[in-house]
Parts: sequence; structure tokens; C-alpha cells
Amino acid sequence: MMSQALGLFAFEHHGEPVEVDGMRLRRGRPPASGGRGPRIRYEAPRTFRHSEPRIELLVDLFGRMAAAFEFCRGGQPVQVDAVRLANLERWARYPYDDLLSNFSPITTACSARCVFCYRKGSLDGKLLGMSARTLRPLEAATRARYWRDAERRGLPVHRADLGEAFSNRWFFDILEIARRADPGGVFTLTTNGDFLDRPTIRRLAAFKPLVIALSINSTDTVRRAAVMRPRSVDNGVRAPALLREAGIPFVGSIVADQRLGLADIDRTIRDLDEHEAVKVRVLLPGYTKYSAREALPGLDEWWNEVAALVSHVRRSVEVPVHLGPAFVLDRDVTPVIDGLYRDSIARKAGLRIGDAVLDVDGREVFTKTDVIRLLEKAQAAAKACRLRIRRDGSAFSVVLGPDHGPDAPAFPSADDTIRRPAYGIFMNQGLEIDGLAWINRYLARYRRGIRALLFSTPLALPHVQQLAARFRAFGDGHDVRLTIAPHEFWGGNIKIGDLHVVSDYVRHIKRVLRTGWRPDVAFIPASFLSGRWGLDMTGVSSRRIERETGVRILLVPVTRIME
Amino acid sequence: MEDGQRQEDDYVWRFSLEAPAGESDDPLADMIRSFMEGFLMIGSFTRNGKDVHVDGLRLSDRKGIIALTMKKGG
Repeated sequence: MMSQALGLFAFEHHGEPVEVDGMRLRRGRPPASGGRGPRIRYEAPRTFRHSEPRIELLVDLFGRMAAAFEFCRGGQPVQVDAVRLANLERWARYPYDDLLSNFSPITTACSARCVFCYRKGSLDGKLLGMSARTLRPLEAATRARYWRDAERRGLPVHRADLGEAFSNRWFFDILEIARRADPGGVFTLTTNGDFLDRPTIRRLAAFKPLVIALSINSTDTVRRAAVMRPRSVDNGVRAPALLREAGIPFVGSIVADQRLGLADIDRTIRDLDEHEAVKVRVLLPGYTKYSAREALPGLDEWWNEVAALVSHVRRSVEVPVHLGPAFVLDRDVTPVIDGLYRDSIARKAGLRIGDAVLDVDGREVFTKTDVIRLLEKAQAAAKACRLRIRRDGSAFSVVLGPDHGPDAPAFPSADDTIRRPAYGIFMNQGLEIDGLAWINRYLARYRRGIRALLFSTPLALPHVQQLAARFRAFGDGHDVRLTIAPHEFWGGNIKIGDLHVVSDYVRHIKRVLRTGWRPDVAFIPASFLSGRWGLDMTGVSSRRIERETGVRILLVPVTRIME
Repeated sequence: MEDGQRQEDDYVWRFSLEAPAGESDDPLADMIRSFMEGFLMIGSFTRNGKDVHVDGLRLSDRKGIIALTMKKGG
């Protein structure tokens, strides 16, 4: 194992490489290292935990080895105080959509100080093991050098809060490096608009295909200044018009803070529609127990008022309006169309908001996520598909597909993918039927009654109950109990399952066990885990739930609500 | 890029080696225990294809069991 690890790491002392060809058991404690070189920057192994936790494991092992052994070269002891990643081509194995994603974070610094900033809720990322970082061109160039474009694989990334990318003084150098090594990647840049003046947007236009996620919050300068305290109010407000002029697609985001007021949210949605935003995201404000003083009273009522506004305004604008979390508005699982993208095939086919999709190519569909997944798959394959639609009590069919005429442009283009996904049908996310089907398949393997705990959330529970009733889910003879784990780690008004952490489930299962009822298995939606290692957002493995409770845990595959 | 070829101008991701605080008088046992605890955060032992839960290990030269805790992982 040691020799394999040494193919991936190299030793160093005071920043200089040290050749090692052996080691011997140390007598006594290791000598003091003599201090660090003053300008040497060390990475925090924990920040790599989500992309490659074995880095942390092996760095810890090397540290303990250095305490127990002397490293040697030619039989003579050599001093070692650090390891570095070696043979980087062997580390370039992690999948990313595009190279710019592999550069993340471009910076963790932000130029605005939003009153609702989520960072306050995690004590500036400290609860999540994040630290401040700014990407420099040398690191970007190294990542680009090892990027495997055909396979979309690159080096492991740091986990960090995303700051204002444009505030990185090397931003355009970095963007150029990314575009040169990944000519076709669709780059997504999230920005508060502080730096988006006309010259910057003109310069940006040379790097298409890209999409801007603009955290605009309000198009009113006074209100925007009050809730965001940005570096430049004017740049953010003017950005939609300039982005449209430059032909750069953008999604406008509004954190529906109470201080904005409903009229302002309504006006901002309409302004973004006028400037042809691809989509508008209205996000309901949340706070944790660490940011509780930021919350205003009556938040539950406010959520309902904003949801009602979104429902109403959707019918009078062209731009699709996303509400997050979607379950606040959607009490019913039926896959109804929530919006239609501008100039899309679905819009041209005459589909309308409120139309319910009954089947796609003869395959019955039950939830919005089912429909969108099928449509995106069909669009990616440039394949036509037939939808059965119910409108005002009657059903009809419509065919959505690309124009295959001799003069038709290649389909789908990057622009289609960005501006008109899923053939132009927008649906707020819903529950996935696959998750329940997966549970049913598991239960069907057993004749005897299985005692199972099925975790849900206050918002998703009505959907789970509807689907379970419709499909007679959980079979006969099994004792499946729906339950909700309180958000004890975050507290505040956090409701969605994606933000659960391992300790929430451990505590709740222990509470259930104390009642005397012992489940054979607990089904937990896997959306609170990220990456392929099954770690929650604090970097803790889901394996801990089973170890600490003794209850078998099965993770149910579901899509994350948080995009 | 050829395997093993090193670019002199590559960015260096380097990690300081921290000496662990004295946990016992047997640093070798500490090393094995710590590695196993770290491993159990990202993997598991299996037998006949099924996960096997372990909560400790015993070195053959001693009678006592070294408990594996779940302190690691945040």
C-alpha cells in the first residue's frame, strides 16, 4: 500500500521535494521540524473530502508514520514535513460537466453583504469545514493541463462557499485558460452583477457558450441596495439589458426576502421577463439557528404569499418562473406544466401552463421529475416524442421534436440546451416515482412483514402519501411508518431533506427505538448526500447512521431539490 | 501526458504533516487504529459480498481489543 500511495504523493521538507527510499522505526519522539517556510501554503485535506476523501485519510496516515518512523534516503535519515500530490495525471479521474466547474471555487470572497446570505447560517462555512480561497492562474493552468476533455474528467476540487467570481482579479485569465482547454463546455457563472458593466459583458461574450446565474433579487436600486449592500447597485440592475444585448443567456434569481415586499418581487420578475431571462428562480428565504436574528416574524405566511404570487404571475409572463422549494406550491403530484421557455418547440406546439401530461411516448408518467427526465433525454437524442395532454377535462396528443428538414440547424445546439431544455416545457421539480418503486421492489423480496421506517419531509410528505396510495405502495403485510427527522443540526425554518445531516437521522432513529418499536430497516432519501462517497454536507458518512443506531439503512435514490 | 512525467511549472497541492497528539504509548497501534477509523468512514469490510460491521480490532501480540470509534468524519 505504501509504495502505491507513494506513486500518488511525494514527500517534501520546507517546500522542497525530498527523495525517500526507506524508513525505520523511530527511537523516541520526532525532532522539531525547525518551523515552516514563511511563504509556503498548505491545503486543508478536509476541503477535498467530498471529491476524494482518501486524500485526508492518507495525509493523516503519513503524519502518523512520520511520528513513528524516520524516513530515509540511501540509509540516511531525511527530514519530511509535508506531502504533495504527485503524478497528477493519475489524479485526473473525477467527472465534471465542464472545466470551469473543475476550477471551483474561483473565489470564496464576495463583494456584496446580503442580509439573507446563507453563509451566516453556517458560521461562514466553518460548520461545513470550508475555508477562504482564491484561484490563481497557475492552479487553473495546471487543472487545464490535466483536464481530459473527451472524458470530462479532471483533478479533485476543493469544497468551498462560492463567492463573487468576477471579484477575482485574474478572472478573465482564468476564463481564457478554461475556454482554451474546454472549447465546447457550457460554463455557468454565478454572479451578483457587481462587476457586470458594459465593457465586462462585451468581453464576456467572447467566451460563449455560457450562462449567467444572476443573483439580482430586485431591479429597484433602493431595495436592492438595502438587501444586498452590493459594491455597485447600478451594474446589477443594468445587467439584464446588457446581457440580452450581448446575446448571453441568463437566469435571474430572487431570494424573496420580506424586506423586498410582494410588489417589488412581482416587478422584478416582469423586468427579467422583459429582458428575456431564460428563467426566473424565486427562492423562499430560510434561516438556521445560527442566523435566527436575521429572520422576520410571519415567515410561514410570507412563504404562502410568495407562492401565490408566483402562481399568479406565471400566467402573465413568458419567462418560466421557478419556485424553490417547489412543494410549497405543488400540493398535488400531477405533472402539470408550470411554464414554457421562450421560442421553444413546446410553446410553438400550443401547450399551455396548467396542461397536465398524462404520458410520454405511451409511457404513463406520474410526477414532474419523470416528465422532465424523459423530455431531456429525447431532446439530447434529437428524438421526437408524443405527449398525451389533459386540458379542461379533455385529452389530446401533441408531438414535440426537432425540425429534420434539409436546412434545419443541428439540434440540439448549446443554445437549445440552455434556453429551451426539455423541448421547452418547464415544470418545478417534483417527487420521483422511482424512489417508491425502489422501496417496493425491496419489500417484495420478503414474505414476512417487514418493519420499516420511511423518512420524508414536511413539504414532501403529502406527495409521498398520494403516490403511496395510488400505487398501493409498500405491499401487504409490511409495517411501513412514515416519519420526519427534525432539522436539529441547522434549526431555524429549514425544511427540505437535502439539508439534513447524518446526526439528524441518528437522533431521530434513537428516539424511535426508545418507544420500543424496532424497525428492520430505515429508508432514507439519499438527496442529503453528495458526491459518490455518500457524505452529508458536513462531510460525515451516511454509514455512521447504521453504526450508531444498529438499524439497517437503505438509501433511496432521489434527485436533489436544490439545484 | 506521459505517466510519471512531471511538469516543473505545475501548481503544487501540498499538505502539512501534523504530528498527532500523544494518544497512547504505542504510536504503531495508534497509526493502525486511526487508519481503520478513517477507512470505516468511506468503506466497509465484507464477507460473502455482504457488509460486516466491526467496532474494534485485535493485534495478535496482545489480548486487549482496540476499539474503533466514529469520531472521524467531522
